Amino acid sequence: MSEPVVLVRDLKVAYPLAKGYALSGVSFEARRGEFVLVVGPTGSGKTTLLLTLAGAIPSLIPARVEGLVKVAGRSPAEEGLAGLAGTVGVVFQDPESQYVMPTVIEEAYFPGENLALPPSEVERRARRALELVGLEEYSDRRVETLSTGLKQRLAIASALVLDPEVLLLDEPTAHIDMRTAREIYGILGELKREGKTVVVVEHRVELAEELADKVVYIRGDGTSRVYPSIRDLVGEVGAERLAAEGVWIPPEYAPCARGSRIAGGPGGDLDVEVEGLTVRFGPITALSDVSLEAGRGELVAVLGPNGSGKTTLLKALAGLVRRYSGRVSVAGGPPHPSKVAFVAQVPELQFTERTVAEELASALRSQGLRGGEALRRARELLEARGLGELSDAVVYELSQGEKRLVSFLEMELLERRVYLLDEPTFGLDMKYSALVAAEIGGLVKRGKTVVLVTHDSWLLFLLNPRVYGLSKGRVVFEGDLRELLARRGLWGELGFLPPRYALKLLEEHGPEEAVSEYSARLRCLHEGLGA
Amino acid sequence: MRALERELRELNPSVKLLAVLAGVLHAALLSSAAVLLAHLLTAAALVALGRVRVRRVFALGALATLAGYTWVNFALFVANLGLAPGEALARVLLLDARIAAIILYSAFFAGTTDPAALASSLSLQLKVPYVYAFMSFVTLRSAPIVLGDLENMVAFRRVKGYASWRRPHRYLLSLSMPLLYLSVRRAALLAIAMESRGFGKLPHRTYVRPTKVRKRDWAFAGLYGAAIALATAASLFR
Repeated sequence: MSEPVVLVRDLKVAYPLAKGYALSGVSFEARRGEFVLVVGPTGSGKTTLLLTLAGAIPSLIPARVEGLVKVAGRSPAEEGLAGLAGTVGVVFQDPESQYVMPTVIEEAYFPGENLALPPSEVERRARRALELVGLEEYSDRRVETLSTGLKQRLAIASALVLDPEVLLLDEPTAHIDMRTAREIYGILGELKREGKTVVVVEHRVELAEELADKVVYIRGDGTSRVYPSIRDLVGEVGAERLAAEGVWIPPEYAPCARGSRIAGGPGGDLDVEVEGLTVRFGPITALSDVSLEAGRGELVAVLGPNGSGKTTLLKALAGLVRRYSGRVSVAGGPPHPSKVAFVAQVPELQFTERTVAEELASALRSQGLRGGEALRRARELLEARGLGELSDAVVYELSQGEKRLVSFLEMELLERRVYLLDEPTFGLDMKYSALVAAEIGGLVKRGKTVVLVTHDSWLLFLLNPRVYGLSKGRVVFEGDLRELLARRGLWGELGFLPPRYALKLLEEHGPEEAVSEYSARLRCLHEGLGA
Repeated sequence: MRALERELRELNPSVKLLAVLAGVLHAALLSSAAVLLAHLLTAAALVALGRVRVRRVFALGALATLAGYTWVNFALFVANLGLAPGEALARVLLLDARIAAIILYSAFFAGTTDPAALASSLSLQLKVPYVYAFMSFVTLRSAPIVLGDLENMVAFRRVKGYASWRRPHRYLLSLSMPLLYLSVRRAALLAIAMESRGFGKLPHRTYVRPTKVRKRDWAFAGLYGAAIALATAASLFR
């Protein structure tokens, strides 16, 4: 049997000033051509594990590292991140934070140039890497003009240029639609077959499950256990417990099925009316002749691939895009920021205060409440939602899921008629996704009009919204989820792909069964989370 | 015109940088009307020929600064130095010409220079260690992302109704904290991404498309130098 390419024995990592260990006894190994899937609840130390394997900890990020870590026979702690360049390739979840150079081909040249390879060799390797990820026709394009999915492919290509033995990926598909995410896992499958050792942290377990040779499960306390497959992990730990910890367990593993959807249904009088909306930014047409309606208490989902104009549509509804042609009416009049509540994709952009209670109080103050009273009401609300212990926490120190919940609660406090939600579940683990989904359901039940932009197809099964499909700034689909499932020819254009189990049900039993069975199983898992 | 624009944009960034710095220094040291007028016209011509696109907010900011500067200096010359209004105005206009020329030179350089080419050129032509040269480039590349964040933050504060004219410092503070947090997080991720791709591993690197000093750079430097020399001569022999 070959030597392990990645060897981790009793790894412990502690950050300065932290109370305990971020990782406290992780052990696993991976051989050439093996694919390791790392799962665990938010905050369990999955990213810390990847950064330690890459050598970023402790060379760039100070932390105490104990235990044995070897990657391709080398010590990441001793050689550091730059020292391992060429042996280890790293890809993160946000492609915007990874690219350096202005054009695709220059980005692919960057690693080879840094290692002072001869220009002809740099050129050869760059072209090959772009070909591997299907970007050869984009080589002269400026990186900022690529879609998020293509940028992530470029990040993978850039990591592959140096022909690393080990590829480390931290939620590489968190920012992209399901269809593109599947394509990226197709590329990772090819790399595995070529003999690369791949270690990937992934919330969307179903994407990586088929490729995984082993699953490293990191518990909330930072300890770990290795399983041969997700099925074995679920068999031993239990789907409900894993879901409660935030691990994205595919719903086919749910031990039960629950009826009745939590949201959706026809709306009342129109709260949102859009007719022939066209928005241009210089030479780029972001939206073209878009028409959309949402009645009071209705949930409308807008789908589409990256760059199709979804966020621009939300901004137009919020009155944040001033130059447009066509008619937009929100809450009975022209759009204005004061008429809507807008939950941002990046919660930090919303934050104005230091602590959670102060943040919520600031929303109440803008409603006319005085300082002390607003703070008292904010604390009461947090207690009522079971989040009392977060009251005095600094907003920037919260986990991503907690930040999203706080941004959601803050917008709820504004008590507007129309709620605009931009990717409210992106990058969240199962626990926080379920809580956010429940909040959306709560808004609709209270008669709020919700326009939701999402890449997460499971959310459609759970919430049963009316669906608008955008492609290249145009509406190419309008209907409900069943109709969308029946029009398979449109999926590619919309970047839409049902979750794996829903797709299986669809192929075997048709749209009706796919919707009811999948959503019932998902609800079973969510109810265990108190959502 | 298009051909001239392309030529100006493809000038070696180090040559362009040195020329512009020399021009700024020259305009700062000499205060004759002929010299300053020559700089003002040359800088304006470069901006026009390079078809530099300046965002409205920056243009308005520059104009407002210039107007304020003019008014304050005029008042100081008349009230403190006791100059006649006509003479004070003439001096203020000279100062304005100097400031405007510096602003236009900066706009020309920033608007016609590819940051990646600047990094290569600093490293290859001026022998700046490539790690430092690329730092300047990465900083320039981050600017539009930070501006995008700022625009979104202002938009979300409008949604929240978060603005108080009575306490503007709170509003500014509410913008600075998230901006700082996001910038630091992005910078840390970018640093990891760059180092993992071998950045800084070796003291030198190769360039598939190296920047070079070509004939057009010599021609630009010669023409620009001649214009400045002519203006200097005109000011001396007047």
